[in-house]
Amino acid sequence: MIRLKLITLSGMRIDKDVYEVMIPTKAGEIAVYGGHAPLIGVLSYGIIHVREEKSVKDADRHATAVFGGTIKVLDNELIILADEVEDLENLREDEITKALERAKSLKKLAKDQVSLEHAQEMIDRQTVRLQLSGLKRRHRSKRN
Amino acid sequence: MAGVTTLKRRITSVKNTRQITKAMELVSASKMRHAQEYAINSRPFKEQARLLIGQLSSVSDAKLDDLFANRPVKNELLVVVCSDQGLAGAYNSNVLKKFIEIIKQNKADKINTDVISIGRYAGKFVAKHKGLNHHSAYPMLGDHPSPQAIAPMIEVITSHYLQKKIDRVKVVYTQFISSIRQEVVSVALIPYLIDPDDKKTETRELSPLEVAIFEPSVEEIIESVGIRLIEVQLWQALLEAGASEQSMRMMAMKNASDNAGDIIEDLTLALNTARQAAITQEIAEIVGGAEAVKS
Repeated sequence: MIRLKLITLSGMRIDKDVYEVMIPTKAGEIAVYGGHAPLIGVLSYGIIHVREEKSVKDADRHATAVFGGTIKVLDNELIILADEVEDLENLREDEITKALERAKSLKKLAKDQVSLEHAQEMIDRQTVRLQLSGLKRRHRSKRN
Repeated sequence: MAGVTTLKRRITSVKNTRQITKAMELVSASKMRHAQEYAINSRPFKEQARLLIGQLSSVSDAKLDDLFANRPVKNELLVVVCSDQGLAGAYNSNVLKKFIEIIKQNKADKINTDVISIGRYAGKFVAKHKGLNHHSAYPMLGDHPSPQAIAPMIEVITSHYLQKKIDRVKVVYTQFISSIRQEVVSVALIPYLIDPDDKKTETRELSPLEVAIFEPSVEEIIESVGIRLIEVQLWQALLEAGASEQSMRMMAMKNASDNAGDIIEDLTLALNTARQAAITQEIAEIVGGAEAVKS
């Protein structure tokens, strides 16, 4: 078990002992278990999966979308300083799809590097949100 | 003694004022609760970010980064945080007093001072003050602050620092301690300084971080965390200032309402005396008149 602290600017989101955490970092997705070596890394856009107990199935893991930040593993404690997070509850798939389309068209129209990067950032963000809402849909259909 | 009508008019006027101050007290009490919540909620993030930077700066590569470099100070940038609205007691004047102190000290040390003002009151004050380079002025955060609001300020501050146009950045703001206690402080934003409290944790956790894995690289981590820390510190300062402002406004308005109550009491007493005096005089006149008719 490892202590997980997910901290955002609006407060502590998660603070409990968990079995496994999957984290999207700039160097790829990593899984952190208890007794992990000290590590400092940069969070990329993606979804954090938290498995509270070993027995929890993949589909029942707690999922949170994160948009950048920093992670630190030290003394069997995983601290995630997230720039921004989003939970499943607030997502609406149709809206995200629309936003993704908009972002893609923005990217086509982008003339300079700055607006291109901005558009790419929006695309990445919406893609992550879409993934998360996709997870939600699948979980629901499995349960029913 | 003032006439009965005048006294009545004054009582009505003070009562109206009390109604307004009472309403403002209630409004700022509710705003204060939210502002406090914001300020307290973001504290863990700031603490962890500070701790992380403290630990990182002990790793030798980190010292090379510009954001950690201590250079001789020729130009200093002050970020001064006041409110957009008045009627908050001594809130703004306390901040500005501290601000003047720092400017005087800088003048004595031959340091040029640039200023970024946040809040309308700070902007007005700095604009009037001669000999300062008023860099830019921003409004104070609203009731529902979002971290994106400070992005432009951070952009300006870091780019100027990295271009070496400024050598040190300080924030002057009001630290929220409790609803009845707030303190004006000035905190160094860049370069990042580790205070003695942090040193303890740094030495304690120095060895594990020496062997830590850095992904992707120390430089990239410092780049991402360094800017983030500056951002979060400024953000925290603004939230603390917001909470202090509302608390001080609430206290000021509470005092105003109490004083209005006292004045109303005094005036009512005066009114009653005046009315009674008028009645006594009328009776005396009637009795006097009756006596005259009798004799």
